[in-house]
Amino acid sequence: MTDRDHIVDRLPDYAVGALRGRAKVRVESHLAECAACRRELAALARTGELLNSLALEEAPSGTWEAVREKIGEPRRAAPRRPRLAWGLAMGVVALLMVAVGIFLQRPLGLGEPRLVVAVEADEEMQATIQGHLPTMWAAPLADEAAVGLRLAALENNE
Amino acid sequence: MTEERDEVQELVSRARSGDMAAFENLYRSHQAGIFTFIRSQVRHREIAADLTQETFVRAWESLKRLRKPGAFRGWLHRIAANLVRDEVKSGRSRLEITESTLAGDEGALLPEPPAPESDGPEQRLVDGELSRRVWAALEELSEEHRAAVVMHHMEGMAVEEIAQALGVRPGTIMSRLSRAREALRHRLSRYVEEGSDD
Amino acid sequence: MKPCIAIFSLLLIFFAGAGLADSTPWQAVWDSETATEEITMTGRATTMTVNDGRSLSATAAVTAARGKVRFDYQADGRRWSLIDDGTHLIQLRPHRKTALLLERPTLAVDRTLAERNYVAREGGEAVIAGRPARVIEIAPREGGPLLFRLWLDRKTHFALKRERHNIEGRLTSGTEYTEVQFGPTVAPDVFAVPEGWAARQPADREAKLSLGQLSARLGFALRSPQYLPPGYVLLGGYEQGWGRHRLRMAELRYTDGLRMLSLFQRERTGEEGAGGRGGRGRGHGRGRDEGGRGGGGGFGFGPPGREDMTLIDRGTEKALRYFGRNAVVVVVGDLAAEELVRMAKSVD
Repeated sequence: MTDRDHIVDRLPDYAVGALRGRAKVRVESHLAECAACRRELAALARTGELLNSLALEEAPSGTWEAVREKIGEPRRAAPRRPRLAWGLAMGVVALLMVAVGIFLQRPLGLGEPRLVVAVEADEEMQATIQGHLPTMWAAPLADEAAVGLRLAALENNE
Repeated sequence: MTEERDEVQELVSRARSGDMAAFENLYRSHQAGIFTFIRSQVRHREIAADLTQETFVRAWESLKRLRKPGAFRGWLHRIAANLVRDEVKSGRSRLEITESTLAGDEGALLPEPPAPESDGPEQRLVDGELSRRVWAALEELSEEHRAAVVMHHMEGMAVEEIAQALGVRPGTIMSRLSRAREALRHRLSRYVEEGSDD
Repeated sequence: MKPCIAIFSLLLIFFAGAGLADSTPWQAVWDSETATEEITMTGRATTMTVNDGRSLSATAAVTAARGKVRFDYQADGRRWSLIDDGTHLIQLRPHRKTALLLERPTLAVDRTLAERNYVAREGGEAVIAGRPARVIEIAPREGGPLLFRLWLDRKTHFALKRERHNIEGRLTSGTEYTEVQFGPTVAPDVFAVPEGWAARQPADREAKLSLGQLSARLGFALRSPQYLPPGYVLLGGYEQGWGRHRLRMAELRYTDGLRMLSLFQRERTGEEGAGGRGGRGRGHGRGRDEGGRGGGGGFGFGPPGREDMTLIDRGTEKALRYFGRNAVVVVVGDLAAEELVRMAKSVD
């Protein structure tokens, strides 16, 4: 059983042609006698076929015309983009500040939905928070060890 | 394959001496590959289009510096990869991103299905549920893995060529392709396992 | 000869010290992400997290190889294990010999987006688990408290220590290795459910769906939020179902490159009195207390005709539930409450 685990682990490498020499021979001789691994390899191969059959996406029409136009012009000495981006960025920040300012001034009072700050979550909210945990685990730069503690805590509560 | 290479070399030589028609030819045969490659790393379609433009503009300007005309495709990808990296530092407006997502256009994440008449000689998945599913699964890979898949499986580039273009060891590309294959095999199990309808 | 060597050595030390030989902070961060996927290691770590207002901590023996990782935890005399084999999160309960498998989402690291919304800067040097480490700090580009502090092993780029802060700047989790070995041989069965154990697995595989497909699956028209907190983009839609009552909701998942945000949505049920806004005058539901807990059985959705919002602050993230006209929305993320409110309300 352990031998099979070793081989299954190496099947993706074998499928893409990354194995050489002894490792390759070991996989191949195992495949000769293991139907399950042959099926797995077939699945990997079919995956490759699916990828091979994907079509490329054409660049939007007008791209060549834009390229030709730019090639025809002499290159400007100072790049324009950074200044434009900076101006835009400042504009966006200003807009956001105004938007947030307006939002914060709106009172959550009569006629508006009431905000209740709860101490404990009911089952529905509990479920959504827990459902969010695998996403937290998989997120970039996630501290998996720490998220794992939270997963365990909810397990213990069940 | 070698015929294609010779043709590219010929076109590059002519383009180097200012032959715009030759360069247009090079554009036509490489634009889809470059656009798909950039698109696999930059979600926003308009930005990807801009970067594609810029890739070819830069290629035209530095064509003389290409030492091996036969390595044009890989070289073009290197330009594109550097532009994608620089794009981050250029500080484009956040508003662009927010607007496109407010429209709730999830289609922005997946490529447009190609127009029917653009089919190549091989059978290609055009539109259809399966194609979208495969792309959706690709979406969930890391950018590096996705780029390797696009270059190898869709553009037909050899591992060596990809490695040179991206400035990494061939073993690293193999590893990315292997990990991608493994992950996608599971994501697409319904379509690749025995007994599945194709 | 000797003076030349001395000068050369001094120059080398100078340049190394000046950090000119170093990669950029972001490159170091991405190298550490890649390292996590590619290296083989074993080690011991202490880990802590805020959870529901309390603090949890444990020590863990860690084993990692080819992108898979296993944590063998120990705390308060209890032992349990968690395995990430790339497709599932497997929780092992040794005393019961059972394993619970959860779907493990594969989330692409969108570096462009992360670098657009955050800055990474040098935070100095340190020694962790006896190894020199480079400290990198990651904070929102627009300003605000630190999000991450990472201590990256100089040699392998592996994160020997990491700390995460929430949107208010409070430290909410941290893990630090006390011992680590790189490159040992790891048997693949370390990441598998032991033979003979009973395994429980949820039925549905997580698949990314379009809004249209989700709407069809759940039987009602889903809506997108008209407001998104700055920097966030849509990753995709997913169908979720959990709990004893198999509550089914649509999840729209967003990211700003580093932080994750989920918007769950379902139709308001009949007993919740789907109707117009302004529940004033329709009376309060019985048995529902101010604490936001459900009255009666089931999920305790709240009194008919009443629209209100319930906010839970978990420390690591907040959850906000909003009863809209046609849908119930729950937003979960590490954001200011106002942002969650605004996003939730923009759905209807």
